[in-house]
Amino acid sequence: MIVLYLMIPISLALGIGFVGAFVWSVRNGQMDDTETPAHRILED
Amino acid sequence: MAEIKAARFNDYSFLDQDDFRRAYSNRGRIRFYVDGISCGKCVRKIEDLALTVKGLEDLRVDLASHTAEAQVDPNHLEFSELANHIQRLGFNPIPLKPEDSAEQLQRLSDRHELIRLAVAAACAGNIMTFSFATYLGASADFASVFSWLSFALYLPVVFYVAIPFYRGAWYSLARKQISIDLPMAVASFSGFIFSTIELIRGKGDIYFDSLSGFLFLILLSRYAQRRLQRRFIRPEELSETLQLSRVRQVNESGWSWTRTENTRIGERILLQAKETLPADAELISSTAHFSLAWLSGESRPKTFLRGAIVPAGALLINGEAQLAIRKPLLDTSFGKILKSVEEQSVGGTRIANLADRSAQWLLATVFTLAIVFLVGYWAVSPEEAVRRALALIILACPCAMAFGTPLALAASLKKARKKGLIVRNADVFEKAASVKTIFFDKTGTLTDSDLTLTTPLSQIALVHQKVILALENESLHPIAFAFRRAFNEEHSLPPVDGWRESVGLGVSGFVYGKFYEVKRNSKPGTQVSCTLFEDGQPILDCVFSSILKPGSRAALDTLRGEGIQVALLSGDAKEVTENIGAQLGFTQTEILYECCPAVKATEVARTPHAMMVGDGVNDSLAMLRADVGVAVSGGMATALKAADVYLANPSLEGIQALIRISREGMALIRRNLAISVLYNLIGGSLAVMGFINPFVAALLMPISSAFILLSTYIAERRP
Amino acid sequence: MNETISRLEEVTYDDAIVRKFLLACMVFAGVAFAAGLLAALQLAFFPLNMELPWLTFGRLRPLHTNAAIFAFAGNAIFAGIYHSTQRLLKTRMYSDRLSAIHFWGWQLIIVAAAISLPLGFSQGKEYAELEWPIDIAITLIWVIFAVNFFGTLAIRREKHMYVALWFYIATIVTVAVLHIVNSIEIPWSYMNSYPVWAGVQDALVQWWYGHNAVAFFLTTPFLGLMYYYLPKAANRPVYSYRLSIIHFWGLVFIYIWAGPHHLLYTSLPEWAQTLGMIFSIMLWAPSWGGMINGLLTLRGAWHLLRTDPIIKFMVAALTFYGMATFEGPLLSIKSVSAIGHYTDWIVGHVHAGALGWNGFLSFAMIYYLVPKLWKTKLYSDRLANVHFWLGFLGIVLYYVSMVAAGITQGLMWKAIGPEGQLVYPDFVETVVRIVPLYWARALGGAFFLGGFMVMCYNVYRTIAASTEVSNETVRVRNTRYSSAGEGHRALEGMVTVFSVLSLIAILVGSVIEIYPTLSLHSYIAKTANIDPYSPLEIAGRDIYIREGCYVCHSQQIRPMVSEVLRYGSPSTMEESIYDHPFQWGSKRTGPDLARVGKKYPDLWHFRHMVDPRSVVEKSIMPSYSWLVKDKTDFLSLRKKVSVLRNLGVPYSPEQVAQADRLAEEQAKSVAQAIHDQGGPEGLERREIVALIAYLQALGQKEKQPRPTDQVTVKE
Repeated sequence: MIVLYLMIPISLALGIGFVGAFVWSVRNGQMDDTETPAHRILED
Repeated sequence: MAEIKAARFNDYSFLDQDDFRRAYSNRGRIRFYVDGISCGKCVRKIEDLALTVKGLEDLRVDLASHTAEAQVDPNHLEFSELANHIQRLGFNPIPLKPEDSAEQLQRLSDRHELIRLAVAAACAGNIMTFSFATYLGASADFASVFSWLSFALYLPVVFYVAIPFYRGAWYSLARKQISIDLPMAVASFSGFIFSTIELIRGKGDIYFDSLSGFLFLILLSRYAQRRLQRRFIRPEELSETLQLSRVRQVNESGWSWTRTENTRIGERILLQAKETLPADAELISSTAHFSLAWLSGESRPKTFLRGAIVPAGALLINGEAQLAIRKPLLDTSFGKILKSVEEQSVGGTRIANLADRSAQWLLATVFTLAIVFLVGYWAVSPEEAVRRALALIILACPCAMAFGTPLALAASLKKARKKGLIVRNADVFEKAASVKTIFFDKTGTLTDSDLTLTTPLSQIALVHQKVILALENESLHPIAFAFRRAFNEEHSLPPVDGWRESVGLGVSGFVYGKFYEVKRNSKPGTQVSCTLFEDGQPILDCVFSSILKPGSRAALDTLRGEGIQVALLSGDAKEVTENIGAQLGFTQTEILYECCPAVKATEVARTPHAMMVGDGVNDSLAMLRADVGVAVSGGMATALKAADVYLANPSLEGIQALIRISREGMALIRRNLAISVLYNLIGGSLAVMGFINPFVAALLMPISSAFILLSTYIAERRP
Repeated sequence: MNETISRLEEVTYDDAIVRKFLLACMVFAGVAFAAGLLAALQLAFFPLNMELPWLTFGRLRPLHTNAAIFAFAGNAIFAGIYHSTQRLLKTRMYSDRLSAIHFWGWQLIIVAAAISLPLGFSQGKEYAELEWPIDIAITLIWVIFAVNFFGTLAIRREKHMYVALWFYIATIVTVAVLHIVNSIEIPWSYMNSYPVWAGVQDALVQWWYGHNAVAFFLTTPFLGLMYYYLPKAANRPVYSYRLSIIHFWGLVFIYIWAGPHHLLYTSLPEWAQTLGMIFSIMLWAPSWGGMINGLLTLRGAWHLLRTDPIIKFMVAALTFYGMATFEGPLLSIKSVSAIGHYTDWIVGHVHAGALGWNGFLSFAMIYYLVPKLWKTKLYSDRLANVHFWLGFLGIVLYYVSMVAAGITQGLMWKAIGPEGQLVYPDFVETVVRIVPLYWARALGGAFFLGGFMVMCYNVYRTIAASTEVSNETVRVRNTRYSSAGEGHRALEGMVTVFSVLSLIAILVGSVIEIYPTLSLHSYIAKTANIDPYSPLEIAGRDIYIREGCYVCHSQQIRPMVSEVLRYGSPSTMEESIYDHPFQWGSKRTGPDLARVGKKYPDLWHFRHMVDPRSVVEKSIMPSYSWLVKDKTDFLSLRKKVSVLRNLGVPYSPEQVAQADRLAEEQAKSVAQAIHDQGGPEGLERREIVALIAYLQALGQKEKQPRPTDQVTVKE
């Protein structure tokens, strides 16, 4: 079970990484329009 | 008018003028509301312009708000060209003002809220993992590590996620009020301190999981609540769709576009067909036909003669008209009403204020209780005292009052809008829900406001026609319009001195040196009629006929079926009134005839739970005295000065809808209140008695909020 | 437009790479399905093992799983990702060269796997059997893929990143981490190694990898593909784009905890098991979010189900996905796991997902892409429908037969009679009962393979009739949307790529630092009541792993009455403490071996290996006669024991130095015992002796055996 001392930090790091990615995407305006992209891909 | 259909622009050149460019664009960015977008193909068509139009660097469509935002290189592309390109594709672009600072702040705060929510979710989720592990019996070593990890993960929660609660609590305290933010702020922070102390002491009483989960759920419900209240089209866009912000100013070389707000009284403006008049203006050119749809709900053209004042909001039917500004838009009734309608809010209503105060009262009580309990129980067991007090504070939720009521009112407003009801203030729902008697005006309400002159023209001397027209020139009474429609408009009108109008009764003035009056008749007869007096002598009788509005009888019967007492008030003569009344199913006792406005008002005032439905112009007094005033004609602008509700759709079904929406809204509020009271009573008692620990409290509180939200959402979904 | 517009670009998508991946996918799908069918038939009819070491079930199964996951699903994923990413971002891939290296590198890896696995080069960890050189190659190719992908993101000409791309990102990042952590191993030969993890540590890491590999290799990329190809095929937007965003982020914030549900009732501590169970149940929600979103996308277009085979495949795929993601949490409940674990129910569950979700979605994608990539119509819609029904029938047959088999066997194992005795004391009875179901399953597999072959023919005819391939060019504005610099494609400009690489570097670095600490952790050494395996037993153990014995035999007795009666006292965490890799196993086609040591005489084991039916009449186990002929590799033992010692197993220095000699000595005595019991002589240097030594050591390593009345039973 000692390996948990490795797995937990890794999982947390991954989690924090993804939260960071979310923050980036909000600030980049990726979440501003959550309707048009679904239509846009149809007309590619 | 339930869906706002924007008028079509025929000329975008104003966009290229400096003052308009400054107003509408920002460093080459410009936004349009685009009528006619429906699907991905439309998106593609529009966005592809960026590939074919030189100078168009970027063009993005937002389906949800029907807007398109463009980045233009001003050296290569004019805004008007861009608008024309879009129009040529088959859409109708309307320039919008770019986000002002308030909206930018709103957008930024929306983003922050989302980020906070994400951080809250991630932290709460991971803290939950560790605390579950501990609850499930992880060995001592791991348990300790997990607890410290929970602590570490709670730090972003207490110092970042909870900031809005701290802020809200602080501001409300500064105003000597208690807002719902206060218990949450207190719980988050004191819970943090308490749990940290317990953690350091090696005890198990830590609540990072409950608190973080609780904060996440509350943030989530607030986010959901904001979305429920959001409108898609922003306030000033309403004026934009009517193109009221720019106008053709007449000058030596013809005319040029000017921002409406830059125009002055007396300046001449040019209106072309299908354009809306953005000011009260005097007609300089010859006879023009306008639609007063925005004002009276009817699209049949009204005729205006030279010298008449055309009200703001009138739409020129055809040709061209030159007018001189008499009152700027914001000073006109129409402009004011427009603004107040656009900015409807639920704050300031009686019931919302009541809800707010109840919420505060509840919170104050809970806090006092918590402190009393804390002090009292400290002697028995400090930890238990803190635990129970914390549980109580976390659990207490005036959700029904704090947001349940405003939400319910907002939902009612939305429903009302959909039915074409323009509500001035959400207060009306409370009153309309308990209406017992409805008084109806006759003319214009139950019958068409348009009257038709039935007296043959041959019986009216030309000179008298001129006199009548001159006297009725500035009147918006149905009789005036009937005259104008009947008589040949090409007469040049004589001047009038000392003109007066007694609303609903008649007009008078000196014409050709004689004193003429056109007075409504109280003579017996089944028709509306008026008499022309010359120097006090009656010389001419004119008779008009009016028609029942379709569906009136049915609507009245529906209302009767719901147990509502209906009555008919009219200034007209007995026979006329009783005739119409009988057709509509009124009994004799329910009919009051020959009422002047004052009498109408008195009758209404002495009846409890009364609604007055009528003509906004003539019945304003009665409407003000009634509990609820509903205007069906007379123009939205004038109507909403006195009335609480304006039926844009002149059908009387709106009244039934209003009552139904109001009753549903009030029922919802009561239901939410009941849930909340019950929850607080039971939960609070259990917390104080120690049956609910902070963890459970943290679960229950958001659940109760969610219940209220769900109950409101379901109610809102029903048509 | 008669003027050229500045800052407009023409972008040509690289469809050649998509075609390559797609064809590779189909080739290896054939391999995977055929291997699977053969394996299924071998279980129903053991002679199909043909006494060939390279084709025995033990070695074939890893070949099948790796081919299915990495060769079939992997190539499908890459085909879809390369195709959709370019179009979603309106740009060609960042680097054609990297694309090529990715493709050829990956296929080389597959070929290496196809060669090494039948030869027995296996790490003994499920879905991670490939040995260390191939693991390194996988890491390298994956990094190249990541660079190519993130580079494409950096040069994108479309600002918004469609949700599918986020699923791809999650896949790339997470799979990298999982693979690296689970593959930390110390080589002891050019093609062999031991993982640094052992026993329960290894179990946790393995199933943290194993489950999350399922999640992030078989689910998230496919969800991403679904979110692109389903709307395109149905020509309707996703039902709720917002929901897709919510369930994606919800998933990645807290996903990583579901692993322990593979270890219920094992010696993993209770709380970890329950935690795994709870999280597995919680994860049902975001999974079904995806399914519902996909299915509701077809609202108002259900008629397409009748006419369009692509839609048929997609709807079926989503339905199977929903089933599997509901069944998964169900199986995570301890009481359900008590019946299902180690049985064919799990196999059924896996294949409903693999054939139904991954298989059908890949087929849908293939049917959608082939006509587009070869600029022609599909040769025959009717054949596509035939494929669908064949495949569907196959899956249903497979699933139903395996669930029935699993529940039957699980219940039979647990059956206790009125006097508290096992109703079916002979394990083989429970096997015999379900062999007919093995036939049914093989039939199901055959249908599935048949359907696939129909597709191959259809695709072949389609491509043959095509006169040109797609070379789609679009016009885009060359607006830059990332902070990756103006116009230069230099590595320094790619912030995201750098971050990814840094993350990987940090992980690798920290792991290299951590592992010595872990390996020398005195906590283990001090309290261990366990003797390590002797050198000969290590040799035998490696043979056990090589032959894939763990594929059919578990080594973990659960604390249940029926298991205690059948196998002995429940396994403890300590007992597997020196097992690099752990061998708890996940399937019992044959009985559990945790305490098989000293249960049967050496001769019994000899006979059993050479011909199982000589000692167990109805056995379906393959014969391992080559073990009698092949010679034990004594020389490598010194290296092996040395590596193990470095990993913390308490061998003395002379054990390391004398490993081969010690082994030879022990081998002599085992060979002698076999001969004394009536078997042939002269077996000292044969592999079979090493294997027998190992088997006899299982459950015998406790220094002080625990009193049997202290056995705790959990159910």
